[in-house]
Amino acid sequence: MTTDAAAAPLAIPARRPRTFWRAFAERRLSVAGLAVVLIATAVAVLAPVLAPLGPTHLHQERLSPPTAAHPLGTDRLGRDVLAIIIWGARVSLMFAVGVAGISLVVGIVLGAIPAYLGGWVDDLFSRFYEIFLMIPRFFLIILVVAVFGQNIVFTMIIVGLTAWVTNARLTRAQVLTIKERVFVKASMASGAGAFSVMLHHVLPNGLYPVIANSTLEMAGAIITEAALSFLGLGDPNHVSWGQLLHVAQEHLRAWWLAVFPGVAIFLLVLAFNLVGDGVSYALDPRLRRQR
Amino acid sequence: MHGLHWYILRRAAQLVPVVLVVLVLNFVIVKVSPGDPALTLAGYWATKEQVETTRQRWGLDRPLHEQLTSYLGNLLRGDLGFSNHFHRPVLDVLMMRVPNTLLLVLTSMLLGMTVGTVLGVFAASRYGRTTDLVLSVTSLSFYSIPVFWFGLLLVLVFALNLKWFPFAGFVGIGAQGGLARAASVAWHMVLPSVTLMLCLYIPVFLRIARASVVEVMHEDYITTVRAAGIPERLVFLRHALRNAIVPVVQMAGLWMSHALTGVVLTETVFSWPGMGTLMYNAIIQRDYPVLMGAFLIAAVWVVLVFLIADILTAVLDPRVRYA
Repeated sequence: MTTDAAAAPLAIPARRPRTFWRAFAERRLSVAGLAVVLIATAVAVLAPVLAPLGPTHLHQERLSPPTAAHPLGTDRLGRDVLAIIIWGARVSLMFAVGVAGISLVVGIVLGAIPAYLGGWVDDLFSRFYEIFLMIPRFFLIILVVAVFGQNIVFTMIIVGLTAWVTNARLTRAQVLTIKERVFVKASMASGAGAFSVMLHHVLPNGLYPVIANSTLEMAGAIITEAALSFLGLGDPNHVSWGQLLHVAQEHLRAWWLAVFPGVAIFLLVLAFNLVGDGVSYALDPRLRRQR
Repeated sequence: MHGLHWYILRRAAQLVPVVLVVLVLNFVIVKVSPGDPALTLAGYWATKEQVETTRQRWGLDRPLHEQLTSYLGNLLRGDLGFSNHFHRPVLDVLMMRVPNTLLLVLTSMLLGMTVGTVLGVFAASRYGRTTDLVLSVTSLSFYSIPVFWFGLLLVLVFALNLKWFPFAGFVGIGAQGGLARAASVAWHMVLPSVTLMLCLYIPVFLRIARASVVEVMHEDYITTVRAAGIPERLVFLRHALRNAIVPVVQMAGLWMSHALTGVVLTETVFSWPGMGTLMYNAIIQRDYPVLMGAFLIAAVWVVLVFLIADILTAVLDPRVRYA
């Protein structure tokens, strides 16, 4: 990052994207992770073409091990495991994006406000973060889902609304440092309103760690959805990878039910983690200097 | 040490209102949940009159703020309520479960933390080389495995097929007497703690230890020490490690704070009779007194762990005290 503060407002937006991709590309494994995410997205979009019968079509063969007709076997109802995995990619990806999106917006708002206003508001919000960290999050989610119903969109909102604290803390820290920088003071001195300065100067320059964290959060969201479904708290109207694992618990001899959906979850989570790793590397100038 | 005392007192005082808010929040969360606890208490076959009698007997017909004050009053007297499901006081139920979870979590965490930190420091000492890359990628891969899936696979392979370990539970029926019982518990604990170590604790501590050592090695004071002609081995062992250990201690505090409630999935897979399975069942069975008690114990635990972690950090890193 440039140390010439006066040049910062012009230089950062113009130069970031190019260096970002170049730095990201230095990490081969992160590129591979990105490829996996893109492939999974393609599979999710093309699900009707790849598995035209749909995930709930009941075949004659029940609990069939992998065969030519069913490469990954079937479950106890005769549903094709491969089809469930293909259609399940939609649920996992939508869930990941939804959760990350919600926690991104909520986190930025709840992090930027106290940092910008400072004083007792800031103290109050810091206590609020602490309290939120003290509530066992996963149980809060289980409680809400178990009591208010198993709906995938609803679950997504709840998980998103409990995942914002890290984003809020990162945003707060960023805003605190950036609002003291010369280019922000300059634009305030030139008569720009507080909101406008926040929107045009402080947030765009401070969002990078939050974005890196959101990528990692997508990995966490996929695991959370799978875990809820695994516990039997999934949406009965949608197939998901975790639900297959829930079924697998009752049919432990049918190893294909336990192995394949788990591999799918593992690969997508690993991919998101690798991408997140690459994003933090590319966005954090300190990491790049240390070589 | 004067600064340290003040620091500890200040941190402790900050945590008191937090616990109070958690208490009220717990109460509200449980109370706004739909479902009639009186109906659950009286049982499925109860008549309307019986349900109403139960409601009055347990004070469920009184206004919410009265229920809250009497709940808080009871707490002060050490009365956490009565579990309808277990037909025992909530405190008794919790005290049966807390040690089981702590046994599993502390064992796995201590082992995982040691192995992870050593591997992380080792990776950092080989920074940027093949050993470092292999260790980092392997650890990230294990971290990406959902614990419940890994647990399921371990059960499948080592319990069901190879029959090396029991596939569920805490202690064998035949294990009588102190030593036989301890051995049986240890035997039951192998698969769940291997799961926790490989998929959680080792990767977490490897990552933080590695990152921390790498960061410290690039700080200015290390350059100064190097410039003084100190051999690299000593720079690493004597000057870098002490500062690098601070984030590791903080991370240990963070994971320790999740100890009681953070391993519910592992407990579920292996039917480990701990806090996680207790709370999960309490939610499913609407056993609200147990749930509220568990949330409370969890909050108190978190507060205590945070406090201890803060103190340890302040002792290790004097800069923190005056921040």
